[in-house]
Amino acid sequence: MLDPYQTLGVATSATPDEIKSAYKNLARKYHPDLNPGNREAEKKFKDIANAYGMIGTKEAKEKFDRGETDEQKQHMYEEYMKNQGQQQRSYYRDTQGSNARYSSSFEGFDDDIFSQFFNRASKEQQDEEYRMEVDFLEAVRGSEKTITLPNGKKIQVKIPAGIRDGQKLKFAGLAEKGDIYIQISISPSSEFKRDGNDIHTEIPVSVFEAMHGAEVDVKTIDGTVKLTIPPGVSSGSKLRVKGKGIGKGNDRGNQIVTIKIVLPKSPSPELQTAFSELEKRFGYQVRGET
Amino acid sequence: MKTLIRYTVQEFCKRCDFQEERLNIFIEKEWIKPQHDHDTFFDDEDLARARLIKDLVNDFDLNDDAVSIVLNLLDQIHYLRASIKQKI
Repeated sequence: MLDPYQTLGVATSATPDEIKSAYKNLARKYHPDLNPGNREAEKKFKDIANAYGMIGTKEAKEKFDRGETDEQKQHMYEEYMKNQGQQQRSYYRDTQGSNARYSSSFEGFDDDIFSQFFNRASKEQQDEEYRMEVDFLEAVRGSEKTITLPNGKKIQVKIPAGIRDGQKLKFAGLAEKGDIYIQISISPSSEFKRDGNDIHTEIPVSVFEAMHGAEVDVKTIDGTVKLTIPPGVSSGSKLRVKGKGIGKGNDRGNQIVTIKIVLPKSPSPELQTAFSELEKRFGYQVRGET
Repeated sequence: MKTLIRYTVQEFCKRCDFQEERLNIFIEKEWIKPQHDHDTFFDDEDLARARLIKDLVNDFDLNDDAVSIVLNLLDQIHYLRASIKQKI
């Protein structure tokens, strides 16, 4: 015989109140509507409900204890225990699908949040992002490149002149289920540095060129131009080459050229003597009075 | 999947194992909303809800106010679950 006392976790000497209390505690814990998707809880709940049916009242318990339990009831209980899960009580959660009458009274509730959430989620899942490295001149002048995606698809990427490091180019609808984003990574140049729409470069000049001025060749992003060095420039002086920066038309920046006076690496004794002579005649104060 | 079974008041009370008076209280409190054509009738959704209410009162010892709150919250959860399922 199957034992309802064991199912409810009470002693055979338990009072009806103790049995009821044990049943309630278990029912609260295992109620299927509070344990959605938990089949084990559902089975347990059915077991305790049946066990409580056997010994839940004073009369039922006394009958059961005397072995006089209604044969049919005991048979049903044992059959139930053998065929657990086949006797189906429909729980409320099982009736609450998309066309349920009670829960659909909340129709429209937080629909905005749903659409935002799902739109964003689906976008994140579908878009693809790739990184493409371009050199400094390609980035400032603009260029065109063909890249091959991991799936073998080729994309023609037009890099607009003046694109910034980290900027993304969008190719709508080119991913399997969304857009493709190409993030541009600009490799630095040893000759040019970008600052907004201006380009900064350095130009080495000899001490003589610095003294009497000169006309020197300067590299720009458009090629070489002549730059006039005025007489008497110092190291660090900045000269502007107009319109040789980044951008178009009136928005185009300038190239800022910084003068760097360079002495010979190994000055000859004659040169040193000559400079000493010059210093004697033309020496000048470059630091404040101490 | 929704079934199309209809229960009369008597059949419904028998299946819930309670008297008609108790069903009237459930209806009065708007916990159960019967449907009407030429007759009043209930379906499986009503049956499962009435049994749940019975459990909440008998086993959980909830008072009427608490039952209303629990039903409301459960209905919100079921609505959200159904909405999510539909959108995925």
